[in-house]
Order: sequence, then structure tokens, then C-alpha cells
Amino acid sequence: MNPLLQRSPLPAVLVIAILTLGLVREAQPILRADTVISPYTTSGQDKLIQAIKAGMLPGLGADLAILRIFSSFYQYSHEREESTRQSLREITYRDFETAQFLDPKFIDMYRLAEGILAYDLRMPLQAVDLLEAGEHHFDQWEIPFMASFIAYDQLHDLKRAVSLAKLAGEKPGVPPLIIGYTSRLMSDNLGLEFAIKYLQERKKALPEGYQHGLEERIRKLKEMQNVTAPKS
Amino acid sequence: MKQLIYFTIQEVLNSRIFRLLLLAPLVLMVVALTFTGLFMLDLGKVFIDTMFASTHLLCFTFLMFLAAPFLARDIDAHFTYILLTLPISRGQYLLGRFIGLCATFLLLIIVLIIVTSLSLELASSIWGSYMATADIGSMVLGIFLIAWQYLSLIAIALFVFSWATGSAEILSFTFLIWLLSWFFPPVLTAMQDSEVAQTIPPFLHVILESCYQLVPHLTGGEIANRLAHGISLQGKEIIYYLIEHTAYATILFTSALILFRRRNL
Repeated sequence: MNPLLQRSPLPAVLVIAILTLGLVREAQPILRADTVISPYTTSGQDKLIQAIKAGMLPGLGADLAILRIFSSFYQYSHEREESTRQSLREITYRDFETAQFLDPKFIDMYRLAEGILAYDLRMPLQAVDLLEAGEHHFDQWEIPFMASFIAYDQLHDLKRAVSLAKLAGEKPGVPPLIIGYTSRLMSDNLGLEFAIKYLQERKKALPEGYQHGLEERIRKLKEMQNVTAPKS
Repeated sequence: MKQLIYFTIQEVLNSRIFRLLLLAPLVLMVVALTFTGLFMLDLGKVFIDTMFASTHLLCFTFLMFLAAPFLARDIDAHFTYILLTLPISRGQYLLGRFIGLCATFLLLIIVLIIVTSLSLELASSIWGSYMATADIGSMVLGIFLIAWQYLSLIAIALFVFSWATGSAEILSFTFLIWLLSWFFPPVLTAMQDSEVAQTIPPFLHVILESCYQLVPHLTGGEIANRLAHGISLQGKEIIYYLIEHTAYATILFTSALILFRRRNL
């Protein structure tokens, strides 16, 4: 018998299988789920499921919720269909709630809520609720201050903005700026210039991909400033 | 009995899975650094979260893929009979196996602590002030306390071994008890939230509470969360925690001893 035929066919089979796998992986179409479904569980059920999933690692569960927020926000930014965008907003907000439930001291979540939840996803009420619920976990003035500003700027709820600003003023190490802000807020005289400056500062604290909502708001405020400015 | 302890340690050290476990912290360190880099501000907290998750993963692997199969093999391969022909009692046999397993577990945790300390230094040099909440003392304490819980679980594996007829029973019952211990505390904590409480009927709450008393209280989740944020634990909390798991492990070990002495081999 031919010595070539006497050899074991296994190496040849192995090589062919490796080549086939490589070619198939290179050529196969990308599987992408286009359908986004709104959460069908209640907020309470969702929290319970997430708590079970996180088990002994609630901190890691919160970290993963933040990663899901990054992912669904990316999808939201690139999505054209309005119903899908609406579902993605709900999903993203649910992940914010989950992250807060699992680890209410996670500062990244509040920073993201201030930026994308209030300005990009246009859910300022939820953003203020989230920030307000988390403020007592920190000895920092930033979180109630953020909430106060969003309540003033987006919700136009002066009463809530003042009460949150007062909360910020009670925190240790509060800068004089906050005292000035609160007094101007109480006389309903904050001014567009302050708002623009504040948003520009907050924008710097967010990564580049998450600044769009704030940029949009700054642009609108500047337009308003130009309209109201006296013409010389 | 001393010889049985050395013999157990040697057996574990010579097993390939244990050598792989000793190398695993290096891989986990790379995973932790990569994962941490995905976040924005509180990088110290994320890094410690990942390290605590790695500790759980290593401890679980030790329990389910090393300690439980190791004990199961003694029954399946009738190795127990050979060892019991030596001039040692059944109690000494169990104690020797338990101490041997705990000693190798301690070695694994020491390696993990060394690697995580080095990786924390590396992470601090990369991210500087963003790692401010990550303190080496908190991290080492967290790893130690998480690992301490697994003493109870190793004792559970030994308890199951004392009456089980083979590997299937030892592995499945140990896993089941680990699973219950893992899920009870977060579920019971979650039920304190008003929204969550509405989704669970009150009678189920009572049943869950009762079952929870039977399994070890793995409350390391809350500890991990606090340490990850740089919030220190009180001495009293640590002492209660250590005593609780030591007491649980002692109860299980004593029960295992009683059952194993009466067992018809």
C-alpha cells in the first residue's frame, strides 16, 4: 500500500478543520439583535433579580450596571427609530436604579446621571430623584448641588432647587460659590452666564463621548443669552 | 495524625489544579486592571471590587474543584479504608484531612494577597489619585474576611463527606449549600427595600428567614462594599464575623465527626 495512505489521517483532518474554522469566522455575518424590548419586570422585581445575580458582590453588580449603561447609551446615540430609543431610555434608567440600589456610594453613577440622564436621555426628573436619593451617602456638596442645578435648569422647579442647594450648603468644605448660588437662586436671579459656566465645568468631568447633551444645552443657553443681550 | 496532615498537604500541592490555582492570581490581576480601566472616577473602588470577585472565584474553585473532589476520591477509590488501617482514629483522620485542606487554602490566599498587593501598587502608579479609595490594608482585610467564610464551606464539604456514598452526592450537596449561602443574604437585604418587598408574599419571607438560619451567613457582600469605599470596619464587627464562621465550621465539623464515627464503612 502507498505509504502516504498508511499514515494517520488525523493531522490532515485537524489542519482542514482549523482552516475551515478560520475561514468561517472571517466570513460569517455579524449577528446583531435589532430588537430592543422595554423592561417588562417592575422596578422591584428588577432590583431583586439584580441582587440575586450579584450575590456576594453587590459592588461588582453595580460596576456591571454602569457598563450596561455605557452600552445602552451607545446604542441610544446611534439609534434612529423613536420607539427603540424610548425603550433604550427606560433600560438605561433601570440600570441607573440598579447601580444605585446595589452600591449607593458609587460616585461614577451620579456623575453619569448628572450628564447623560438629565441632558442626553432627557430624564431630568429621574436624574434629580436619583441624585437626591444618593446625597446622604456622601459628605460632599457636589451631588445635592448637581441635583439643585438640574431642578432649576431643566425642571424649572425653583422650590426644589432651593431646598437641594440648602442641602449642599450644609455639607463640609462647601465653597463660597454655593452660598452665592443659593442666595441668587432664592431671589430667582441665577442668570444665564452662571448656568453656562457651570455646565462647561461639569462637561470637563465627563469623558468625550458623554458630553453631547451638555454641549447641546450650553449651545441653547448661549443662543438665549445672545437674544436677551442688549444690542449696542 | 501529623503525618496525615503532611500527606494531605503534599497530595494537594502535587495536584495540577492547585498549581494552576496558584498561577490564577496573575491572570486575575490582568483582568482587574483591564476592567478598572473602563471606568471614570472611582477607579479604586472598581479595582477592589474586582479583586474581591477574584477572591470569591478562587475560593469557590478551591472548594468545588479541589476540596470536594479530593474528599470524594477518598470514598470512590476506597482510599479511606487504606488510611484507616493506619493507627489513627476516624476522628483523627477527619481532622487531619480538614487541617491539611485548610493549610493549602491558606497558602493560596497568601499568594493571592501578595499578587493583589503588587497589582494595587501598579494600578496606583497608573491612575494616581483616581485610586485614592483603594487602600492596601482594606484590601488585604477584605480578602482575608472573604476567605474566612470559606472555612465554613470547607467544613460543609467535610460534613457531606461524612455521610455521602460517593462523589455525585458530595459535589452536588456542597454546591447546593454554597448556592443557597450565596443567594440568601442579598435576597434578604433586597427584601428590606419597599419596592422589592411588594413582590414577595409574607409567608415566603418567613420560610426564607428560617432556611437562612441553616446555612452559613456569607455576609461578606456588605463588608466588601464598605471596604471598597475605604470605609473601615469596627473591631467588634470583625470579631463577631470571625467567631460566627469559626462556630459554624466547628458545629459542622463536630457533626461530621459524630456521623463518620457511626458510619458503617
